[in-house]
Amino acid sequence: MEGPGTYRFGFSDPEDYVFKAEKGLSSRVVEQISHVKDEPGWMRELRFRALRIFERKSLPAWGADLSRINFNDFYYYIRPSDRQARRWEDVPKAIRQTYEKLGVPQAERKLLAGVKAQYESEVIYGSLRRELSKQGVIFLSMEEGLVKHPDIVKRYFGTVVPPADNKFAALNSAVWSGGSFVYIPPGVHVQLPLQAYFRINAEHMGQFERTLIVAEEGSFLHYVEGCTAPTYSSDSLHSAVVEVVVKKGARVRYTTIQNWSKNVYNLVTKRAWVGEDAVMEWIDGNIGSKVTMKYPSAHLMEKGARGEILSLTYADFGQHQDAGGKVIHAAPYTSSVITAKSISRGGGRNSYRSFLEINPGAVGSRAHVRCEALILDSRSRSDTYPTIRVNEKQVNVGHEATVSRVGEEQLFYLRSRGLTEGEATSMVVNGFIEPIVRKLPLEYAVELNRLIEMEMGGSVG
Amino acid sequence: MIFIFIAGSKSEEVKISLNKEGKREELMVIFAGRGNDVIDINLAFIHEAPATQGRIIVRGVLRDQSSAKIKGLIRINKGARESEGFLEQRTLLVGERSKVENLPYLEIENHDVKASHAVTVGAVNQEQMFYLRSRGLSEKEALALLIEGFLGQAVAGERGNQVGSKLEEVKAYALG
Repeated sequence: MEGPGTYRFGFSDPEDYVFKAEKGLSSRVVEQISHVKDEPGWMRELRFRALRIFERKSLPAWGADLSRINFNDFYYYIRPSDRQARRWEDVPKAIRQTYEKLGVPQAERKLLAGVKAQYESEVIYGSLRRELSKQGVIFLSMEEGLVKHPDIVKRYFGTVVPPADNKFAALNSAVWSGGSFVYIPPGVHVQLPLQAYFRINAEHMGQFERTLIVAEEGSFLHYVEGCTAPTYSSDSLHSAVVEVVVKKGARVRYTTIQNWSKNVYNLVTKRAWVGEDAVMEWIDGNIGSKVTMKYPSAHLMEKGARGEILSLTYADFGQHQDAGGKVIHAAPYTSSVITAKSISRGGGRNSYRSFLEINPGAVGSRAHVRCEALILDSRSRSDTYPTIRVNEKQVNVGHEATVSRVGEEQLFYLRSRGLTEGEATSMVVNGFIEPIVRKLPLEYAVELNRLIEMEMGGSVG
Repeated sequence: MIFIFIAGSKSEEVKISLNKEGKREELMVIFAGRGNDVIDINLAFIHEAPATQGRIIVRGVLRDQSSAKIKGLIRINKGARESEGFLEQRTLLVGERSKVENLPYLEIENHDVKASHAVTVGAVNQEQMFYLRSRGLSEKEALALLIEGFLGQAVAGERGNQVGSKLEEVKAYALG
C-alpha cells in the first residue's frame, strides 16, 4: 500500500493505520488482537490467562517510580499496513524515509544477514539472505513464526519467561504484537549479525514486541536490536519480552542499543535458558527512555553453562535507568561475568540492580561482577543494588563496584594538550565505555559513540 | 573504630550518621555461625556532611547449615562533597549447607566523592589446605588455622587487649 508522501524530516509521521484497537486494556482488546491475527486457540488462551495474571499482579515494590503509568491510556494494538512488504521497494515511502533518518544502513543491508524493521506493532520489512535459508535458519516475525512453525513456537513460547513471571511479562503475553522468531538448526553458524529495528510512533502507543530465539546444539548467532523513537508530549509505554533458548554447546549474543525518546517507559523482560557448555551473552546499552527497568537474565541450567552480561547505561535530565542483570547458577561448573558501566549527568539517575544466585549443588561455579559508575555533576545520582545469594560453598564469587567522577588529573592533562573541557570530558567518557563499545558490530559502535558525543555536546557546548 | 563481634544467631543493626564536616568512622564486624544459626546484619553509613570518611569491613565464617544475610549501605547525600566511603563483605563458607546473602548498596548523590564496595564468597582455599596438610597437619588443624587467619586478618594488631579476647571468642565459636 502507498504511504503518505508528505513526510518531512520532522519527528512524527502522519498516522495512517489500517487497524487500531480501541484505547485501553480489556478482554475485548485482547480478543480483537487475537482475532485480527487469526491465532490458534492455545495462543488465544495464553493471552487471556496472561491478562488475568496482569490484572491480579501489583507493580513491583522496588525500582523506578511507575506510579504515573495509566494502563488505560494506551493503544495496545496498531497495524501500520495490512500486509508485509517483501522487498525494500515495497515498504511505504514514509516509513523508508523514517529509517533513513534513523540511519538504518540501507546501502549496507546486503551485507547484513537480514533486516527486520518493526514500525508500530508489526514487522513490515524482512529479508533473509539466500544462503541462510538454505542452512535452515528461520528469521520471521513472531506472527509468521506462529503460522509457519506452530510446533516450535508452541513448544518454547512462554517457557523461558512465563506470563506469571512479573506484571509486565503478563502484560506483554496478553497483548504482544510483532517481534522476531529466530531458529538456528544444530551446528549452524550465522556469520553476520541478524538485525531488527524497533520504533514507536503513534502517541500513547504501547509497543509489546515478543521475541523468541531457539539456538540448537552447537549453533552460533549474534542478534542485534536497536531502538530509537520520536519525541511526543505524553508518556509512552514499551514492554517487550525476549526469550532465548541456548542448547548444548551453542552460543548466542544478543545486543541492544536502546534509545527511546525521553518520555517512554521501557519495561522489558529478557531471559535466556542456557544448556550444557553453552554461552549466552547479553550486551545491553540503555541511553534513551524516561524510565527503564531491564535486567537481562541467564539461567545456567546445565553443567558448564556460561552467562555474560555487559550493561551500559546513560542517564541525563529526567531519566532513570534502573538496569543490570540476573544470573542463576543451577548446575555445576557454571560461570558468569557481569560488567556494568553507567554515566550520570544533568540530574539523571542510574541504578545498577542485579541478582546473582548460586544454587546448592552448583559446585565449581564462578561468578564475577564488576560495576563502575561515573557521575559528571552534582545534580546527578548513582545507585548500586546487588543481591548476591550463595548456597553452595565450592564456588568462587566476587563483586566489586565503584562510583567516581572524571579524574581532575585526566582532565588537566587533556586540557594542557589543547582540548576544551567538553572535549576532554567526552574523551574520558569514550574511554570509560570503550570495553563495551568494542563488543558491538561496527555500525553500532559508530552510532553509540556518536550518540554519546551528541548527548555530551549538549551541555558543554 | 567500632567493633562488633557475633557468635551465633543474632540480628544486628547499625546506622551511623557522618554529620560533621571531616568526621571519620570505621566499623568492623566479625561473625561466626554454626549449626542452625541465622545471622542478620544490617549496616548503614550515611554521609551527610562534606569531607567525611567511612569504612566498613565485614568478615565471617559459616559452618554446618548456618546462614547469614548481610546488608551494607553507603549513602552519600548531596551536600557531602569530597567524602569517601568503602565497604567490604567477605564470607567463608565451611559448611556443606551453609549459605550467605550479600546486599551491598551504594546511593550516591554527589559527584565529588569516592565510593566503592567489594564482596567475596567462597570455600577454604584448597591449595592452602593442601599445603598445610602436606606439612603434617590434620584436616581439622589445617581448617582451624585457615579460619583463624581469615578472621584474624581483619583485626591484626589487636591481640592481647579486649578486642583481641572478643576475637578469640568468635574464633573459638567458629572452631568449636
